Amino acid sequence: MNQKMVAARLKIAAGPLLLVALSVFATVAFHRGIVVRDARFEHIAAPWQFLTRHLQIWDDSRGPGVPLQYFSPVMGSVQSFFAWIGLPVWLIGRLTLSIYLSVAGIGAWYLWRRIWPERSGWALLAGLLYAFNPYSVQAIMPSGLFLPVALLPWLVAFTYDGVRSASNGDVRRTLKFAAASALGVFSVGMLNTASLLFVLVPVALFGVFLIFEGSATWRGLLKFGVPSTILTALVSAPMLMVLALSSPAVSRNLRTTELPGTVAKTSSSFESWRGLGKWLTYFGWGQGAETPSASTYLTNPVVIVATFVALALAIIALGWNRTPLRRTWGLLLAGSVLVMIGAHSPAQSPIGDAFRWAFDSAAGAAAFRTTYKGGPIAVLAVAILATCGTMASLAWISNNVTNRKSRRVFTVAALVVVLGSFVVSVTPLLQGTRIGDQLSVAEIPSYWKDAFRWFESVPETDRVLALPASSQTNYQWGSVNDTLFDAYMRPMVLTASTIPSTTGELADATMAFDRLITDYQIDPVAVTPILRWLGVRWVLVQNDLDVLATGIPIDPLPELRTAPGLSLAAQFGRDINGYSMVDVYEVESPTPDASYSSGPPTIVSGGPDSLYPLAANGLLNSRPTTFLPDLSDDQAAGLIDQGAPVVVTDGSRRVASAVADGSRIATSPLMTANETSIRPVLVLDPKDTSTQSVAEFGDATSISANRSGYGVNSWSIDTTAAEAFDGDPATSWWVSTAVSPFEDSAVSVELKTPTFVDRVIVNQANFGTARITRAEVEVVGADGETSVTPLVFEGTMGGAFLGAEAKSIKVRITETNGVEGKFGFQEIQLLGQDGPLDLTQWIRVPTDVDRLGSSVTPLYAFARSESEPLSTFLRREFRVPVSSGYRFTANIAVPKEIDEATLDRSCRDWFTIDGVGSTARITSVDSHVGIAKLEGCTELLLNAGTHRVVALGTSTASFSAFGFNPSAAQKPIEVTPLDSQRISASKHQVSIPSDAGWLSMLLPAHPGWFMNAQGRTADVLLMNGEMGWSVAKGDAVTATITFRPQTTYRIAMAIAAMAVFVCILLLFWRRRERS
Amino acid sequence: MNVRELLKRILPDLAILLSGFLVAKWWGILFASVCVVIARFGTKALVANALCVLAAMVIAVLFEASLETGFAFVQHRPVANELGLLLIVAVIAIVVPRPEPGR
Repeated sequence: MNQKMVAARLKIAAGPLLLVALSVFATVAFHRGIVVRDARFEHIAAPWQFLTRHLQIWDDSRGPGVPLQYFSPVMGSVQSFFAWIGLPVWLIGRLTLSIYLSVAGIGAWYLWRRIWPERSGWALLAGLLYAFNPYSVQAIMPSGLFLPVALLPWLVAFTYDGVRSASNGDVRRTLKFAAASALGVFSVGMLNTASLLFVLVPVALFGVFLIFEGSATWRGLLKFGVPSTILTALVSAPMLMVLALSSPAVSRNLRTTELPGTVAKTSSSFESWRGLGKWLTYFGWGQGAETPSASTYLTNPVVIVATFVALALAIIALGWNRTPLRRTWGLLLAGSVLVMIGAHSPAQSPIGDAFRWAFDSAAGAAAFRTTYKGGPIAVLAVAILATCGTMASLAWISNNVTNRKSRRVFTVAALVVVLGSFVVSVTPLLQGTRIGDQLSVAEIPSYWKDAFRWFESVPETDRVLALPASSQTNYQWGSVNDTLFDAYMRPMVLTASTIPSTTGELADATMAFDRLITDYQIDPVAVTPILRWLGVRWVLVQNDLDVLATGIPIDPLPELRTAPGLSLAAQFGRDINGYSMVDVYEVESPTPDASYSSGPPTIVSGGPDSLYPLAANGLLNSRPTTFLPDLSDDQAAGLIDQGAPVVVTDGSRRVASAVADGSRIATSPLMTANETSIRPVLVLDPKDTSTQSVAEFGDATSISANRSGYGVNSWSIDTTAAEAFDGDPATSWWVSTAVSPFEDSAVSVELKTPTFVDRVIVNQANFGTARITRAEVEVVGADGETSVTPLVFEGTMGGAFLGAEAKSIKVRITETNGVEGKFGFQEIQLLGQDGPLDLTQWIRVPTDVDRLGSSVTPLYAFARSESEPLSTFLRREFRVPVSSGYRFTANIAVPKEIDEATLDRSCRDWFTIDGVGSTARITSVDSHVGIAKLEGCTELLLNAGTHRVVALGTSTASFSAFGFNPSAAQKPIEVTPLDSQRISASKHQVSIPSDAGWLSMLLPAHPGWFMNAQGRTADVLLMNGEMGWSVAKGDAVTATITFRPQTTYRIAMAIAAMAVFVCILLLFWRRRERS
Repeated sequence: MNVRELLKRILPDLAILLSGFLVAKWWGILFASVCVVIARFGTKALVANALCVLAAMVIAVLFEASLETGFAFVQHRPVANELGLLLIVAVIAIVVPRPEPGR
């Protein structure tokens, strides 16, 4: 190679080298040594584990088990290589980001050289504009979403060359570019499916537009499109399987995070034009912003103007006749911006309205609700066009400014504007503030390393429950974006998460238990039975969470210290006060991996949140449970015939949820059957309200509250609005100034029928000196007219005369005395012609027990719920299928220091049934846990039909649980552990005895599991939210349980491997030179 | 002029008007009508038109409401948002192919 050729090659390589250097500088130079909170922490901290996980489609290395959720073997290999050569975690993360930026920039550089080879010197500007712009600054993290952005220019370039080659009849080059496209898609993998599809669709459109530009033919498009699609499908075969199996878990997540309304709030047209509009740019809890560096795009006028300069140049290029493919780029730009805007302006734009309709109504459309992911093609179009626009501007100056000196000044000024706006537009990346947004720590604390080392000696199939949970855990020492466990913990970790590492009911039960025990005080006696139901052997308590960032109270889990059957096994780290940072508890007599019951499971009317009422009432013992909504009528009848007990609980509560502060899942107060929510959780059948516990009011269809200023403006997460109408002095509805402004916070009552309301009387809740000074009552009359009447206060009491027929009434806080704190109403009374309206909330428990017929005598198990944490009175409405004798039982929480001798153990009215006082007495007290047991003094005859019970607590004795037991005793069953072995994540073996029985496995439920019991009949029956089978009598056998999709997955991987090999061959297929 | 030629002539205008309505309803169709008229003066006029809309949008972004972080930044700028929608129409008007691209 002569010197000239070397120089020429270096000249060509200078562009990509500069892009790589800039990318590495932007991502590595700042905050060196500190890990950034990017996509999945374990991808950079344990890349080899991430890579090897691709071998099994049932992934039980990140939790009890869930279908594989991520597929990216190429990036896994690159990151594993970095780890293998000894790079630290922080550098692996940063280099990953720099690779993505470099690939994006070099892709645009390459594309420019393909579409305008004569002006290849300008390719660098196109590459810079594509890799570094406001969109990439915001989208670079989480990087899983950015990877398809990096792929886009390559796919466009391959399509451009492939379609043109096919149109010219060049088969070799056509196949070469088809193979390159397929390999590109394979390299990216599936870290975020929606992002990938948002990139593939415009590539296909680009191919079509080429025809209209006259650069290709339909035949050429077909000749390239078919092999390209086939090869892409073949290399993506395992990816498509992963997508199909993980989509149920992903679609559950769609209901709680990034709701279409939230995403569309910020995707305004002007922000979309400059590549912004991603809701996280604007979003923040309290005063802070999720990405503080983005504030420069919103507050600095110079930066705002600079972000539009590239767009202005792009528009100029659209009118320049030398711009290659200008119509194609123009249409893609306009279309992409429309997609980015999405459902932002449905009132102004029919297309926006169509987006909103699709997200609300069309199945699967919600997966594409994050429309800012449609931005890459707009950014690419702007990069290409702005480069042309710069050339056009310089050409104009050259042709129209005749004075040489002026020409030079104009040229320099133009270049300063272009380059200056480029630099200003990406200052957060070039100054390191964007990296600074996501800083974690240099190293995790040593006590966590000690804890993980301690768990090395624990079998890897043991389940560890991590409490309290947070999807993006904020510790006092920092955050790693998700959790530490997926990267460092050897045993399986069960933890509540927005993207759970286990399936359906087990995930919901974990979330329900985490929320209950973390946010509320529960009966310690209930803890261990619930842990056994979850299959948990160890409980890991994170005491070093950031209280302010997560909203989790200090010492949220005192129940664990007194819970019977739970012992402290280890502690790690100490704070300055001597408190342990990490506690590990061991569960005594945990549930074995496989067990065999001589009798059928308990049928539970309720859902995964029924565990607490079951356990608190002593009904969650070794006998497994199965949920009634999961059973067909025949299955339920068969189990009842075999002696299965039936328990009606107040679980399966109809609530809505959203990701709240500290990435914890917040739930709404209990909803009525008529209230709809697009984000139901913890109900097995969201459509059938007979399977749910719902709120009911005498004269109202619903009572709700809204909290002003709250990001998710659907309910007040502080307290339940119904507590202002329950006649209980211990409860109130309130809002706090600590989280957001209080103005316009209101309680709303929707009446069942238009009713004459004479007066409204309110009594303020007593929160020290904080007082409401002004409030108003808004009445919507029967005719739809709205009137507003101010409340007149005298001290804490207030009132307003209405004298109107009302359809709905809203009591709104408008002003306070300015003291920081809580404001609200202890009681609100609406007085009609015949006295106060009946607005007391009753919790109607599931009524699906009706479908079991009148031969069933169920037990009833209720417990204090999240909607009534401080209530003195617990009200339930339930249905009895057949008249039977019952005995009332209950647990009440009493002060631990109480003198047992002073307890009143006589029969007294502890509850009412259908409005009639009924007596019960204290039978025992456990002063260690502070719980007294109550039992009805007489047997009650409950007739078939609906009944209402009120548990009457006192200020010193509050009910934690209560229920009714039928007089007839249940037949006990025997539960024995079985020998079982985990062969692999997708294969287990278990020895089944010869007797008929019910097999329970600690295998999260999934229809893919199949048991080969060597000829013995075994019918699937979900037990404890996991896999179970009712097994017929036969020879004792060793059954094999396999996850059947694994076989297909292996075939898919083999196909993909072969397809990748073929693609590589095609890529290097060169025409033999003629001699 | 036969029907085919007439269609050829009016189709681009119809496409602009339709896109105007779909993107920005009545303001969109009004602005699209303006674009159709401007198109008679050629591509450069359309580019100038789009740049004017862009400039107006940037000014609206800067002055329509206070520059502050949070959701308020995008929620309090109806004029800028409307102009952003119209800019889509302006861009479409530039790239829609015409048999006679003006003087």
